[in-house]
Amino acid sequence: MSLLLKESVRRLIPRWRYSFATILSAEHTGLADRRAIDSSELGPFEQAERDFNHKPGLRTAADFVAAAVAYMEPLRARAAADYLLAREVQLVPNVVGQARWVAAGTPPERAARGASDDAEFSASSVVARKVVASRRQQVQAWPHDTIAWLDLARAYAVVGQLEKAERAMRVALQLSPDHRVVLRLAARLALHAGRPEEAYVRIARHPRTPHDPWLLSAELAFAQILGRTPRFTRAATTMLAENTYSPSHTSELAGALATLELMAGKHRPARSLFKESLRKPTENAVAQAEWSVRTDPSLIIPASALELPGSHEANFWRARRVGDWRHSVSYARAWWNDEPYSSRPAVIGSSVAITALGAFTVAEELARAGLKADPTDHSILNNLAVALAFQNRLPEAREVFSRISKPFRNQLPEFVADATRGLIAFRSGDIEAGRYWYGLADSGAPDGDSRRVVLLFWAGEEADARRGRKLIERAAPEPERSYDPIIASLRSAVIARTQVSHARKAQIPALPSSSSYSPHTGALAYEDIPRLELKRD
Amino acid sequence: MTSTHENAYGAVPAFETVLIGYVLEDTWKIQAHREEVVSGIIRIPTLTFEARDANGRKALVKVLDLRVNDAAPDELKDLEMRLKAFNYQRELIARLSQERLRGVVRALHSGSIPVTGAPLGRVFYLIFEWSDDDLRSQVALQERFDVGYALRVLHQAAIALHELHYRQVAHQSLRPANVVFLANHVKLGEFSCAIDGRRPRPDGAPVVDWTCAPPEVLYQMKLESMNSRFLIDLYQFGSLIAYVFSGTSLSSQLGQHLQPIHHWRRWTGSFADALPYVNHAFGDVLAELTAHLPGECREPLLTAVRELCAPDPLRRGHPRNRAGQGPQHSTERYISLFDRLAKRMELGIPGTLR
Repeated sequence: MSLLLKESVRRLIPRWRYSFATILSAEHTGLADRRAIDSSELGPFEQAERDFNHKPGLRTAADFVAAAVAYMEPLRARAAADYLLAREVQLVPNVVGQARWVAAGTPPERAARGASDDAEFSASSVVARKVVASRRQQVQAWPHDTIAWLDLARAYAVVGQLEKAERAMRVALQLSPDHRVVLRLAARLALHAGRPEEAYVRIARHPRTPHDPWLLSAELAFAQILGRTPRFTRAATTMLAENTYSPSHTSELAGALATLELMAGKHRPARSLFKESLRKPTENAVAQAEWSVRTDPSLIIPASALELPGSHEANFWRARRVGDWRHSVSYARAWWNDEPYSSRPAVIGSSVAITALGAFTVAEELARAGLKADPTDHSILNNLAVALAFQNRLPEAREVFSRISKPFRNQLPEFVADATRGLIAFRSGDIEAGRYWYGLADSGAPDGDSRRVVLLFWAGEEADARRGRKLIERAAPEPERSYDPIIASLRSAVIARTQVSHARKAQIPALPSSSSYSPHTGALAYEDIPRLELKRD
Repeated sequence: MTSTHENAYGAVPAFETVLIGYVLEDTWKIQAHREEVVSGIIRIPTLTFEARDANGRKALVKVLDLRVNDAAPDELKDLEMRLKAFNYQRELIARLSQERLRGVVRALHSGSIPVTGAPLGRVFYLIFEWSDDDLRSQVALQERFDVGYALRVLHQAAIALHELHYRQVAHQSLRPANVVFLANHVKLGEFSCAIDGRRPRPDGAPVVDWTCAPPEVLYQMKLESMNSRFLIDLYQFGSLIAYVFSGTSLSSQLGQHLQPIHHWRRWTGSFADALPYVNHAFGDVLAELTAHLPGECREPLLTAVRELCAPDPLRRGHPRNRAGQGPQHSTERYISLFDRLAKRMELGIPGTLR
C-alpha cells in the first residue's frame, strides 16, 4: 500500500534552492524600508553625465556607463551605452559588457545559470554534479563566497552525499553565522539529515530570532515538527499585530502561526492568519494555505497566488484537492525537481500516481528519483516496492522491500508495511499469506481513510468476488461525510475491476470503468502526464 | 565659453568667465576654465582653471565656489561648512607639500584675491602642479596596455599611497582620474575626500564616488576608525589594478554582477546581511577578471586584487599583515610585489611570474 500519511501534516519549513534558481523574495532583502538617497550622493554620477554631454568620447562614455552601473541609473546613460556599442569592436570586453547592461534599460535579473524548474525530470542529479564541479572551483578561487558554499551543500544533498553537504554548510555558517538565509538553510539541512532537534536549537537559540520574522517563522515550524510549544509565539503574534514589517516579510510567519492555530483546532484565527499570509505571499506560504484548505475549505486562495514562480507544491495541493490527478502528478514532478533533496514530493507524488491513477511506472520513476537523495528513506522504498509489485516485477519488489528494516523510519507505519507485504504475497500467488498480511494491516490501520485504503487495495487483489465485495462495502464512506477524493477514485477503480473480474467469470459483458485507474498495467507513462507551462521570474 | 554655468547649484551667471585673465601670486595668469575635470568634491564645490606663468609653465587652479546654494536647507551653515572643508583641505595639502612627498601632487600656492562681484568680494584658490594626463587616458580602452608600464604605474601608485598612510592621511578617492602623470612619474591628486588622521574633518565623512567606493561605504556601514579609512584606500588601490587591466573599476563590476535587489542602490538591510551576496558577486568578478590579466603575471595580480578588494574590510589586506605582521592597511608588500613584477617585465625575464 502506498503512503498517504505524509500528506497529513505540512509545516512551513524554509525552501532551499540553488542561488541561481532562488526566487528572490523579501527573505533576501533587508527589513528596513527603501534606502533614501541623499542628492549629494548622486553628485559623481551627474558629473560623469555632464562630462559625457560636454565632450562625448570613448573615455567619457565609458566613465558615464560605469557610473550608471554603480548608481543603477541605466536609463540616463543610454546614449553613452549606444555610443560605446557603436564602437564595440574597439573596446575591451568589460566595457562592452557594462554598455550592454546599461543598454538593456532596466536592470535585468540574472538568468538562471543551471537548473530551471522545467528541466528534465532526471536532470536534478546531473545539474547537482555540474554545480559541485563549478562551485568547488569557485570556492577554491574565493573561499569567502557563502552563497557558493550553500549551493555546494545543496548539490551534495541532492546526490545523497550528506556528510559533504554538512561540511559545506558548516563553512557557510562559519562565514556568515548570523545571516538569516544561512541559518534557515542550515536548519533545513539538519532536518533533512534527520536531526530536527538540532534544526530547532539552531534557530531558537540565535539572538536574532526574536526580531526577525523569517527566523521566527522557522522557529514555529521546527517546534511544531518536534511537537513542542514554540518559544516565540508571543513575539510572532505581536510582530504581526503591530505591523512591524511589510507583509512580504511576514507572509511565512503568518502562515506558520496559522498552522499552529489550525492544529489546535482554532479554525477562525487560523483562517484570518492565512488570509494575512496571502497579502504578499511567498510560494511556500501559498502552498501552506492551499494544503490547509483540505482542513478548512472556507479559505479562499486567489488564483494569482498560484501563479507565483515556483508554486509547484501549491499547485499540487490544488490539483490533489480537486481530484485532477494527472496534473497533480505533473506538479509533484515539478515540485520534486525544485526540492530533489526532499522525500515529500517523491513520497506524495508516487502515492497519488499509484492510488489515484494506477500509473505505476510513473510512481516507480518518482520513487527512484526520491531515493537518489536518500537511498534509505523507508517511505519511498515502500512506495517503490508497491509500484514494482503492481507491475508484477515481484523479485525486484521483494528486494526493494527487504531494504526496509525495523524500526521503521520516515513515518512509515507498521500497517502500511503489512499491506505491502500482503500485496506482494497476493501477487506471488500466496493468497493465504496475502489475506493474513492485509488482515493485520486492516486491524492496525487507524479508522477512517487509512483503513479504507487498506481495504480497497485488499479488495483489488482478492480473487474471491464475495470477499472482495464485502471489503469494498466495508470501505464505503460514512454517509453525509466528506472524504478524500483519492478514496473515491480508488474505490470506483476497484469496483470496476471487480466487475470486470466477475464478468470474466460469468461470461457477461463488463461495465465500463468510471475512472482512469488501470490496475496492474502501469499503463500511464511520463508522456501521458501533462507537461507544465512553468513560469519563472 | 558658455555665458551661464549649470551646476549642482542651478543656472548662475558665468562666474568662471569673470576670473579669466586674473594673475595669481604675481605669477599665474588664469587662461581657461576646465569643465571636464571631475573634481570629486561634492560638498565643497570648486571651479578648476588652467593657468600659465611667464615661461609658459602650466598650473591647475582650484577656486572655492562660494555662491549661495539656494537648495541648501540652511544657506549660512552650508557656506560655513564649505569654508571649513576648503580650509581643511588647504591645510592638509600644505602639510603634504611641506613634507615634499614624491607621490603627491604638490600645491604651489594657496591664497585669495579680491574679485569684484565674487561672494564676499574675494576668491579663494589653491594652485597645483599641472598634469597633462591621468590614468584614464593611459589605459587604452581599445587595446592592451603595455604590461611592464602598467606594473610600474601600479608600483608608483602603491608607493604614493604608502607615503600618505605613513603620514596618517587617507586619500579615499583613489580613482583613475586622480592618478596623474607628471614628468613620467605617477602622483596622486585631488584631496577633497582625504582625511587627516591627526584631526577630524569639519564636515564629517566625505561622500565617496560609488564607482570606486568599497562595499562597506556603498552599504552604509558606519566607519569610525582611521584604519577603516585606510582600508578604503586599499580597496581603491585594488580597484585600480582591475581598472588598468580590464578598463572598468571593481565597484562598477560588482554592481553589474549583483542581483538588482542586492545592489547597494536598492538594498535596505545591513552591510553584514548584504555581504554574502557581495562576496558571491566578487567571486564572479574575479573569475571574469582572470581573463583580462596578462598571462605572465596573472596569478600574483589576481591574488593582489583578491586581498586588496575583499568585500569584507576585516578580510582586506595582505594575509601576513592581517595576521599581525604590520598594520592591516600597509601597502609595503604590494610595493615589493609590483616592483618585482615590473622589473621582471622590464628586463624581459621569461616565464610565469609568481
